[in-house]
Amino acid sequence: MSKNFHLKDKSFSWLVPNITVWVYLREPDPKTAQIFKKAEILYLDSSRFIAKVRFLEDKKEIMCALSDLNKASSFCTCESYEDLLNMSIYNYPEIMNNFLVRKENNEMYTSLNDILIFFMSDKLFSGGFSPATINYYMQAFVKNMNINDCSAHLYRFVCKCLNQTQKSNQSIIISGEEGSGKTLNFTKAVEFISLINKSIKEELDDIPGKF
Amino acid sequence: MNEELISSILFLIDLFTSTRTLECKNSTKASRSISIYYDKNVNLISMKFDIIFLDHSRLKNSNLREESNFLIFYFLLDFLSENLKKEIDLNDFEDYIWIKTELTPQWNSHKDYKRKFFNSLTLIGFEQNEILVLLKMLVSIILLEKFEKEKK
Repeated sequence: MSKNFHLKDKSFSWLVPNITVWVYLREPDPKTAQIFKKAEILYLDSSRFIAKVRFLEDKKEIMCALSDLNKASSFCTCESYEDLLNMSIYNYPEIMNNFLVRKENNEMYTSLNDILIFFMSDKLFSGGFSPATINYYMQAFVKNMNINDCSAHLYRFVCKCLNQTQKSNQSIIISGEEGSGKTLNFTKAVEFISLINKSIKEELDDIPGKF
Repeated sequence: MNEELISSILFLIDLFTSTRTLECKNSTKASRSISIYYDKNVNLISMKFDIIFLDHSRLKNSNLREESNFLIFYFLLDFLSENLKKEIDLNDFEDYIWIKTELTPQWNSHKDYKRKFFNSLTLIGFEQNEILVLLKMLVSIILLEKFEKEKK
């Protein structure tokens, strides 16, 4: 393996030996059903556009096409980005891995600036809509704390909208496939608005507007 | 506006606009829009609920053999007492082709749907005789399929 290794094709110019990449699996992994796996590049062949990689999980080595490789961040696989805008690399496996890690950590919501992304799973994390959670966000809103310091959640989103009504009327659009949790989020948002109304009466100044 | 009233409205909307499909146990077959109004002191004055694009064709679409009709019809058949059923001329499942028995809703055994239904209607402003008229209207919708058959 040459030390000064340069690839002629510019689209693969980011590929160098020993970096971590996402490898596209032609068939899903039988255990995890994933189609991307993290690996380390061992060897690159620019003339034949192939590479030899070693998977980080099981140390298995395979040959694959350069087009099956995607950039991977050096971020720890157990951590995740709450706001996708903070990601350093944007590609399909990076974004999907972020969602997967957040789901495993029982984080139901991920944000993308003013967009909130919700995961629907069979084992819905019941704590996400518990009275303690409601109280947490309600107190943050009523005490005029910086709501952005709270973790991404439907209730944080609703509080931000209520804050913005000082400037203009606000709209929330809930969209998704069948069974993705639209009705659930709709119901929880409306219930939260009715609950926060009690606390707002005591604490906040006059805020006219329509929401 | 209090939480109980809002919760009742949402419950009734779910009952009248949701069905059970192959993909989802509680699939909403309409679009919902809520406008929330509050005053200068941030007191919630009113909420306006709009239901649009309701899937009317599901009422009499016998081609949907593997999916259910709207939840309200199954509620009437599963939770009303026999006396009330007689009063509104509601019979058993076999008499209604549109109310499929192959995919009935999965009711949560912990919830008292019957009590919540009647409480919700009362909270909204329905009186007892008006609730009876509403139930009879719902039964007449189911009976429409019998008239269509006789017409043919």
